[in-house]
Amino acid sequence: MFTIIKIAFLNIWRTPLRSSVVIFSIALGIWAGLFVIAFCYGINYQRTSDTINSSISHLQIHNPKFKKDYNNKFNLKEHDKIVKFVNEIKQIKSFCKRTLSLGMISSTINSNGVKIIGIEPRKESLVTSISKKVIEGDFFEKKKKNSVLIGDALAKRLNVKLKSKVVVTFQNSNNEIISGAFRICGIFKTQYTKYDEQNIFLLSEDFQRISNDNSFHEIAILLTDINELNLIENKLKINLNEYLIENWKNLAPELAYADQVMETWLFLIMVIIMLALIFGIINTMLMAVFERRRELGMLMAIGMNKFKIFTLILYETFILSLIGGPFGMILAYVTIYLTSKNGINLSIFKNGLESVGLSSTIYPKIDDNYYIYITLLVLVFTLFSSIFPSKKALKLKPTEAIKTI
Amino acid sequence: MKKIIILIFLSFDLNAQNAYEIIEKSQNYTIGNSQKVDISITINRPKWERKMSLKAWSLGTNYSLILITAPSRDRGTVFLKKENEIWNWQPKIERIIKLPPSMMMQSWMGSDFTNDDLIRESSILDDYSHFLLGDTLIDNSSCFKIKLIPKDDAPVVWGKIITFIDKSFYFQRRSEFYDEEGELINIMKLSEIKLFNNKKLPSKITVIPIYENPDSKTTLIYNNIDFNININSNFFSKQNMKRIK
Amino acid sequence: MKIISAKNLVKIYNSSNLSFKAIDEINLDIEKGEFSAIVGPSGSGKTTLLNMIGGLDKLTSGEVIINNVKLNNLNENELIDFRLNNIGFIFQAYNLIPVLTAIENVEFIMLLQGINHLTRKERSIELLKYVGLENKINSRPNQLSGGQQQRVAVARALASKPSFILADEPTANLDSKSTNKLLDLMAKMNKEQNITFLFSTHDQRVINRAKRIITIEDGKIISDEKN
Ligand SMILES: Nc1ncnc2c1ncn2[C@@H]1O[C@H](COP(=O)(O)OP(=O)(O)O)[C@@H](O)[C@H]1O
Ligand SMILES: [Mg+2]
Repeated sequence: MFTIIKIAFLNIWRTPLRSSVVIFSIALGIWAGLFVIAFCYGINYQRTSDTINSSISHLQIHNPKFKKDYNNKFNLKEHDKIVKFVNEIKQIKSFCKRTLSLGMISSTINSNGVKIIGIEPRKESLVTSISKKVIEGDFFEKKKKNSVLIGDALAKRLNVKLKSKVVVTFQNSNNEIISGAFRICGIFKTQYTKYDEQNIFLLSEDFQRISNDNSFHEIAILLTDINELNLIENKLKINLNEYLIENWKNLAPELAYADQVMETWLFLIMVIIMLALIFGIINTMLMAVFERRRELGMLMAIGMNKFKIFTLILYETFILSLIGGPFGMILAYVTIYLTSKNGINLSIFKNGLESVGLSSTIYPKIDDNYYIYITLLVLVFTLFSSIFPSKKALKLKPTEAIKTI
Repeated sequence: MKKIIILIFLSFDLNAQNAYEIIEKSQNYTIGNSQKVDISITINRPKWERKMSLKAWSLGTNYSLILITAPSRDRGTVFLKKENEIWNWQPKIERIIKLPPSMMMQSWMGSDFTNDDLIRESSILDDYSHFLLGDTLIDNSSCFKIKLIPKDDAPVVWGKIITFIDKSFYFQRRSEFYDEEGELINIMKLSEIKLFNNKKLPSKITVIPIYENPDSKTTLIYNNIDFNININSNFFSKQNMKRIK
Repeated sequence: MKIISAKNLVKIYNSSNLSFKAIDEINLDIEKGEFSAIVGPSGSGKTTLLNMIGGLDKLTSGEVIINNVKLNNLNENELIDFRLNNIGFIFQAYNLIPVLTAIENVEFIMLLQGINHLTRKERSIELLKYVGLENKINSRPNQLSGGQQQRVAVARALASKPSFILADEPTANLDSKSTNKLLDLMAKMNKEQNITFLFSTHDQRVINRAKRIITIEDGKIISDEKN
């Protein structure tokens, strides 16, 4: 056995250029596979954590009927009780109460449908990152009555700036259309242009005063450790059963969906990479077998049996992938490590990316298991593809060797 | 198109010897308790023009019903405003839809008639302080020139409004809408005075978004107005939406 | 003692439209210790005949019996094993595994036979000494001359302890000095160790040294005489 492996190994270096091409293709296959996975996974991870941090948090509590048409009638009936309960769960890092309504914001020039979010700024900043996204003005620091924080994109649409007056209109719990004049105290900018355009923040006390209603509609919860999500979710569901408890996956099904879509695409990409790899290997090894048909014939003539000939070619292919594999893995590890630290700047596509909610700097990220999966996958496929040239070798005739030219 | 509808709902209360009284008198003059109007609307944009016609019935400020008569594509479409709900009848699909509150608020975006003034029964009386600036001639008629300044906290986007009210008949002849920086944003012109049910009223209202789009305008023409017609709240029912012609 | 017995050998090559009778009713017996040459012009069927006897190619008809085993009855894998343990081959070229050294090439065949490492090593060195290549044991084939390569091939052929050695024009690519050296070696083996050799050749130098000359032409034996 060992000698056959040795022969296989030595045979590889008889055509160093060709072998290098195969090794390089295998390395490239593994590298490309891992990097594409890391890239896509990085995008999704970033989008998920951005969405969790910037808006949806880990868990949200609503009146079960509220979300159907955001009717303010369906508030959190006993929000004090909820707050008391939530306060006692130590795995909950922070939470905040909000008032919500769908409504409209108008300036002299234009108006826009928006989600109106009434917040308690101090608590809100412990739960979401919106306070860090303020690019102009501040996050309700002056505590001025009737202040509103709007998105950059919306400000442009409405043609307003800091301190401009806008009118916010919505329906209160009695279905009365109510409006109030607000001054812009700050302008925020997330990477989601759509989000910036469709959400405005104001103080929940202002919201409650103008709508003449002291209730809240939403409680958002951030956990210390996302792994405890199920535990806390169940705890809340059992103890607050008259309310709707939703986790981030329920709240942003598009994120979970994006994961699925990504997996499908990755699968396709992998198949393509593997096919290219298989094709290249089969081709190269067939060439190697053809070129050595006399020598292989001689080996058969002197008594090397078919199984050993078969394994010889198999080993040759396998050794190529054993060299290419780790090489690809190291290459992938280094690239992913470097890019995950510095990010990949795609600012050329900035506008397009931001409008679909993607950051223009992408930080690839990968689960270590993938190194093993992909490598195994590549090895399995190389072995598979080496079967063809090996079988071809079996069809050779020992008389080939004796033929005079 | 929907933005126009809203306009109609509110145009009823769009329109007083101190300034306050002049305004009040003007409002009482132009608005009846119940009315039926026949309106044509033309929206002009630099690149295109759109026309539509409609009939509208109203009772107080809580009830109104609008029937689109042109263009043919939208013909027969009915909007019903009943207290705080808006319903929509689509003859093509034979279905009544309740417009969700969010839609109610978004639907008239970008109109030359600013939402802010339109959607609320924004009382020009309560939300503003009124100042008589003097007399002016508009269309060769002598008018009161009145400055309206929104009160603190009044849900009004404007910095000020200058309105011109006909001295003899107390209808508005012209309004100018300014933002807080004193920039002129919209102009509303009322002209072509006609006699409707023995009342002299402007039959043409033109709004020009002078700041953003001086080449655009929206024109509204009253073909007919009947005041104090004989209808009650039962008229404004969902069943009637399907029947009305 | 008869070790090779070929009876009524016929080989017909069928190509697309014509069939060609390369071996035509050949009967041949080889005794232990022979040093014989199959002689004939190019294309006369020497290689074909050796291939039949060596079990490298199928017969059209007739039979080959080696050491009382009828080759016709063996399947492909049995044939390979049979060759490994009974026949030593020396070809005109492509005898050696290019990536292995001389000693590794000699060892390889014993490895295939499953002989243990130590025995392999000892025997390979001994054989390479015997063929006069003790100072080349770690050279690769491409570092050896044609004659040296053929001598490694001889050592390799001997290594498996076959009952006879088939050599198809072993000197065809060699100069006369190498040819003589190789022939000396083979003659010595035949003489000292009673090893049976069957060559094919049209090289007069080989013919001169052979003890029995079987001449074929157009696939038929036309003469068979002692030298
Ligand atoms: N595989 C083959 N297919 C068809 N004809 C062959 C084949 N091998 C050899 N021949 C023919 O058989 C004859 C004998 O060939 P060969 O045994 O190689 O002769 P020699 O070795 O004496 O030169 C030649 O005419 C050759 O063309
Ligand atoms: Mg020949």
